[in-house]
Amino acid sequence: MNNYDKNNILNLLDSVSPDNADLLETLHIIQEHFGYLSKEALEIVSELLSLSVAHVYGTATYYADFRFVPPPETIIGWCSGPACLLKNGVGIRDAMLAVFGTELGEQLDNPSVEVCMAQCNGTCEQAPQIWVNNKVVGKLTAAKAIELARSIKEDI
Amino acid sequence: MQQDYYTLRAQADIEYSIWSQPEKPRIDFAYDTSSIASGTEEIMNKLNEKLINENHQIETGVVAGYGLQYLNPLVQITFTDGTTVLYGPVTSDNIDDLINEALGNNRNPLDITIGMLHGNRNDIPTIDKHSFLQLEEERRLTRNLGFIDPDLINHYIARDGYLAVNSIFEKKLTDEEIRKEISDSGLAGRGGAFFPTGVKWGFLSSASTEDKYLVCNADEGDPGSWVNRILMEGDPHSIIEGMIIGALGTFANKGYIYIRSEYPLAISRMQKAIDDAYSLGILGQNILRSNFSFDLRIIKGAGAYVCGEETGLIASIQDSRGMPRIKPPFPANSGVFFNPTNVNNVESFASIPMIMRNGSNWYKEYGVESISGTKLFSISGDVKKAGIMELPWGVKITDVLETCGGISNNKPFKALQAGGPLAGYLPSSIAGTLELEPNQFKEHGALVGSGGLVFISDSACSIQLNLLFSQFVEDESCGRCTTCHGGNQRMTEIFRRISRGNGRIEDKANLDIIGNTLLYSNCVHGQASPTIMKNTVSHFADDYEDCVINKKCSGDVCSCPGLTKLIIVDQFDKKLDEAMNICPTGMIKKINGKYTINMKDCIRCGACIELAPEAIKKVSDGTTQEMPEFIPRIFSENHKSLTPHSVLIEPSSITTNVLVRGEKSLSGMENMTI
Repeated sequence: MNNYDKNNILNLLDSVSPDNADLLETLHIIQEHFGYLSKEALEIVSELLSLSVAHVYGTATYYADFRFVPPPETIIGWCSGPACLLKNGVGIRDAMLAVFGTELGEQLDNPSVEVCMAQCNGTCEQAPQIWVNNKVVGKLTAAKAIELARSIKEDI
Repeated sequence: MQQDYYTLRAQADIEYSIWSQPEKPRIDFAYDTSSIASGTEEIMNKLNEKLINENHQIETGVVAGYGLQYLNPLVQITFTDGTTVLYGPVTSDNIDDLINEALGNNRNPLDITIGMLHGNRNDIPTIDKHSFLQLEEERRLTRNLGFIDPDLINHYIARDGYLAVNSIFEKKLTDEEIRKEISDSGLAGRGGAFFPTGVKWGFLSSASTEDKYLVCNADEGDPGSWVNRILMEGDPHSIIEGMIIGALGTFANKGYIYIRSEYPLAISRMQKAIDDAYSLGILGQNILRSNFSFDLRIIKGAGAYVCGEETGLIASIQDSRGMPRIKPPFPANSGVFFNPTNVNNVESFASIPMIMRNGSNWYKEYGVESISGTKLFSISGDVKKAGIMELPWGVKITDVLETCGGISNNKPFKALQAGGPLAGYLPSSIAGTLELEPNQFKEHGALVGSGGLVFISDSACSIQLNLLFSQFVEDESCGRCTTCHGGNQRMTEIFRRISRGNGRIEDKANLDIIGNTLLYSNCVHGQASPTIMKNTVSHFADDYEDCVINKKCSGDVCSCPGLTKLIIVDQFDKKLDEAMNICPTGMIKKINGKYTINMKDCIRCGACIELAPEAIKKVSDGTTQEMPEFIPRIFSENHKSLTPHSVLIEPSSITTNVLVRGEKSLSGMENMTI
């Protein structure tokens, strides 16, 4: 699955072509398959789309979605939307960060986890919420978030 | 082989009539992002399993949610007589009830019954009598929610879908006539700028290049707004039809729908809709046997808020960083791949088919003098009932709040934050007098924006909200204009300092300078980023002064470390042990039988108060000590996932350097200006 070999990548990208608004889609396809964008992958993309590696890298790093190292096992997306903020969203964020002893957006190895900022997608009836590996955990409180974070930490 | 509209319609009518009056009763789950968040999938799987195991003569299906999100998960049952009833909130415990209900075995109506969507049955009240929907006059944009399976193009066609496109071909309407109809309707850009759509199309139609682009802006980044998601997940074909009509009115031959990546279901539904439209000859070459061709594809965004600005969006489509640029040239002259381009909002496109079908006068039945039609609003925040409403322009804010059940926990209504982090923050004394109408908001230095209404109770802390919104605009600044990325950094630093109890009397003047400087940014992101700050300083002057000068905050949920402190009021409360154990920083200690909280390193998350509400209280009496030096811990951009492959400098050293330098230069600026 995570075999970053050139043919493997090329097979995924048979439909993309230069000057066809394909860069974002290409990066999404690679990240979906491998979990992150490796240096090799970015070089192949630049060749395929006739763009410089610097351009591809510059574009990829501009967007919050893309990762450049293998992702952790657990990604906790903290909703930064206003409805969540009004219900102690900040307390929930800081509590989880304190349990893991990490910063927002910092990837930890042990436990393999990252708490990152995520954007409101309009499920505000669940506020305050987080996403644990893209699954919504809604109607949280600081205490519940701490328990959840501790259970993730102890599982390792 | 292309088919004509009437052949397609005849097939669709047959399919839809079977669906709307099925042979076996059918249980439809509302399947959209909101209901998935509330656990629909699990209930759906359990019910399907049970139906198979017990061999019930019941079918299941999928619809889009009706907008009553606070009652999620929603389920609707269509009976064999063609009547449809809506239920919610459904839990796993209700599965047997639903099966019995579908089979007609229940003598009494279920207590989760919401209302009749269609027909009459057992005196269940119709859905339009529902308290949450009392302000809605008529569902126009959302007319298909609950009435079609959004994944099936035939359901859309059977409900007069693509009729407007066909009648343009039949009546041989010219582009001018199409634009006139749209202009007459008074439709104004629903993204928040409210520029007349017909006029905008006129700019594109006059361009004479080979390729012209129509772009649908579905990068709905404003936190608290999700109206475009509802349309894409609930009625994707209405947007495609609107784009085809837009193409006919502007001679565009290529189209893009740019959808933010946070909406995976909307992307897959739109993709399915586009594929289906291609396969029926509604998109592509010679649409519906005409000599008109239009190609449409989806671009999936990648998490950048400024791509919602039209030039940023265009840059993002053409393989680049989504950085807005100076206008002119306007997109109508030079847009996607330097070809003439129009960028319109999802809701604008979704409004087009009904205007063409029913005429501009019909569309103007609702609305006010300055703006016509209906608009979707997403309501959230400190309200009892969150969800979507389709309202005519001109509805009173207080009526909306009342319909949502008022502010939760019976707190007073403090403020309204409408239309995202660039649009404004108005106190209840002003918001309570307003109607939903763009000009009324403008008078008070705020905007209606794209349709998000966040009601805020007086538990909220203005400084904390400001800090988070300014962090948001700082984080999402593309970085092109120093005014924007630097200005928002300074603004964030000031609010962060105030939240740590180190507010200074000169902050107000500095914020004023920053606010005025930001106006010189190139795009609307920078220009509008100080709106909420300005609103706070002018409309919440008491609140602001209290936090800055007196180091006090009136908000219950305030977790500003320098404005609040926790005190133990009852040493004998048995719950204190629990509170001590939950503390994530270990700052509650028991020394010689006495509990103490170390306020210096307490993060004010509030978990201990939650577990021992009688023993621990949060107070803000101005006696909190100023927090020691500022330690950056969040929103540093140099985290591991963004570390370049070849950079040799340790990321941690970058963080410190950048932020410390920022702090120092700020104090330098103060000395110069005050």
